[in-house]
Amino acid sequence: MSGPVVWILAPPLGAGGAPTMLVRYLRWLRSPAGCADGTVPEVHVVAGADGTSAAEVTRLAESTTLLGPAEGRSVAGTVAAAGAQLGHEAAAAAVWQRWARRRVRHLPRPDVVVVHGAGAWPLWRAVAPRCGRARLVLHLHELSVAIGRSVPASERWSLAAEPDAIAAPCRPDAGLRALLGARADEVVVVPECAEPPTPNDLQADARLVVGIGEAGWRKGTDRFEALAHELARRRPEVACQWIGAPPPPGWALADDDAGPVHWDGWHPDPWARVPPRAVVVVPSREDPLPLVAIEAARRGHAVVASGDGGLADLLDEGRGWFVASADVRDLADAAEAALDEAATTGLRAARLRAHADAHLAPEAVGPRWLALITGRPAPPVDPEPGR
Amino acid sequence: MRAAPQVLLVSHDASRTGAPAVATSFARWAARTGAAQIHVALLGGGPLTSTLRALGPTTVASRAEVELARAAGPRAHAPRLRRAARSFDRPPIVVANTLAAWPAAATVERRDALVCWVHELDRLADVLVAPDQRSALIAATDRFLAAGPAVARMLVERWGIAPARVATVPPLVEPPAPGAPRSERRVLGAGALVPRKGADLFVSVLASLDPPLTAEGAAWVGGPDDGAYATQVRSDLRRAGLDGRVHLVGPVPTLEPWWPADGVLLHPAREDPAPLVVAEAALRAVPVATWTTGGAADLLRDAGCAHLVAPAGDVVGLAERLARLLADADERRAVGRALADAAAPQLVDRAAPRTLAAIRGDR
Repeated sequence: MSGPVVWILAPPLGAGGAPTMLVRYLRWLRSPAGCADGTVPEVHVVAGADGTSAAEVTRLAESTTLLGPAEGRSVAGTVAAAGAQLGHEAAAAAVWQRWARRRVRHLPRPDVVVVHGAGAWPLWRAVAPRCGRARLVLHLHELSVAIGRSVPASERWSLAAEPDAIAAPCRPDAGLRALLGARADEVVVVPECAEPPTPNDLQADARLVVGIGEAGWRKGTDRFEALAHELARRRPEVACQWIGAPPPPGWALADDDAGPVHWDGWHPDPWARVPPRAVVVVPSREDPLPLVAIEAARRGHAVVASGDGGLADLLDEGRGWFVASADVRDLADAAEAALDEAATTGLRAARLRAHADAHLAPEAVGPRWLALITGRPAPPVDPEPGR
Repeated sequence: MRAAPQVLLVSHDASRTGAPAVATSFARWAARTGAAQIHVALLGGGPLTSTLRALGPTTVASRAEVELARAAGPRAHAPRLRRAARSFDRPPIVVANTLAAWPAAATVERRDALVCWVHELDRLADVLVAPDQRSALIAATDRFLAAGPAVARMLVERWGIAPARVATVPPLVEPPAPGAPRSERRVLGAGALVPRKGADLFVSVLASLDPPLTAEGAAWVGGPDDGAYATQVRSDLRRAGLDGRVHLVGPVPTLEPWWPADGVLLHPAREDPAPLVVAEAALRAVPVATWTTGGAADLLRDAGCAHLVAPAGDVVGLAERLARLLADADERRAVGRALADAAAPQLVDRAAPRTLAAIRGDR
């Protein structure tokens, strides 16, 4: 039996968290568990641009429409950008929106439109006239600063006003509450998830601290580097390693190759480079529920984290170490505790793993996501949002 | 008597940031002393445009030219630069002020020499001129002015340019205005609100300060204060609980009233080979704490204050150095005096003749 026609509007299909989550939701949907009631939605993905996740999305979705290349811009995008630079923002946006609508006119009319991340909100603005009275679901994967980068100030009111349903991976924090106003109380928590880990054959190393992610402000790479300096003073035998793409221009420190962090670059599977028992530090500034933390949890690593969003809940009740303070010394205290107290660390990591296996696996999260997009009642869930 | 050299000075813009400000000081000195005849060609506008126009012939790229250059490359500037070169009675020395202006400056064929005044270090340098474009430009360039020893090391050791073609010149710093008002704030940071200048790291250091920042607080001066990066810095301030004690001032016409009367300049730039603001602080005897990411560290070492230089990225290390300075008035005075002595050769009247000699290729 065929289900509703769903358009998922997605940001560029790169290697970031939102495209990765889209792949995981779609994989679950295509699994026997996702098809259990026989009414599988017909999913058409419309993405801002090509990227490393596009092939997998294309394999899993009914159709995939890419509105730009992985690098650079489409012709329409170039024309729009030039128009905006010359001060004709509204006309430039209209040109691009018209072009985007033409690119989706072959798709069947949607019953549901899911805006998968705030980065896709401009796509909604473009294709809305083609969507009739479709139910609109805004599934945020960002907090307020990142949302502000994707949605111009003049448009932000619409994030609360237009959707029929709003979801986020964690309970709204103060910034998200300010953005959504009264609708913040209606936010449905649909956490991110991680698939079962593939073990690697590296030797266990309890003297290693690892950070993972695209280097930059949001992931707090500079905080990791500061932590590494502090640990080098306190515990010179501890090594610190960062796995992930280098920072964008302007964000790299001169002379940091001489510092205490081993910069390991981007890898398609960073976990193949992380030995068992390494302590994973997630020093994010603003990240609703980082995939790295969930993936580390499912692999049984101890996690030390900071930042706004769902990490505090994830690591609550003795499941890890959460540092609210911005003082790097406090982060170092927590990392030291995770490195030193083997019994406590093992216990916390085991609790975290059990929690993640029960609540943050695709089979636990997938039904909640499907309920969100179909508007059907959600299955019974953990009463604590974000946990 | 040797004729005053004719110089076509090509600058990427006329913002109040370091390199355009240094070029403006140089043009002002040349106009005042008659030591050189300068025509300024700007590849973009900015608040210093009117100052430059008052000093001498100055042309500015139109908006259409800027857009064309963005799409089609530096050749878009060539016709205007050619006209500017023809305004001299003999082929001028063409000086590219920053790597951003280098490819455009190299399009001027009627020239006596091509000089590149480099104000950038590796990471920004690679962004502005891709390594595969560099060799042709290096071959076309007669000599290089390095804005500090770190830049000279990059040019010689990593770009393979013969040392004889590289002259290290100090930033040109205007003398302090006597009797200017000072700020009560204890810590000042200054620079464009862009990641490279490190305002987010300024917040990180203040968040790790022990004892915590006092009620007099701190200020970061520079803009734009309405961009995405400013939002990130504000978010950091809120998260650190510092939003009431650290003032993001935004762009100002002069830093003068923001210099702390009894405080410290904290300079946590990610990459900054010759920070003008550090030289300006030094000339006002304002002590500085920094890390090893460029010219601020060089100046502190020259002043015998290497103990105030933390390793790059060591937030706690920098916070500890800042805390020690804030706690010790005698140390602040001693460091301030040492920095003022070390920075004195960077005063315009002392440094500009050396810069002009380097532009002419006098050894």
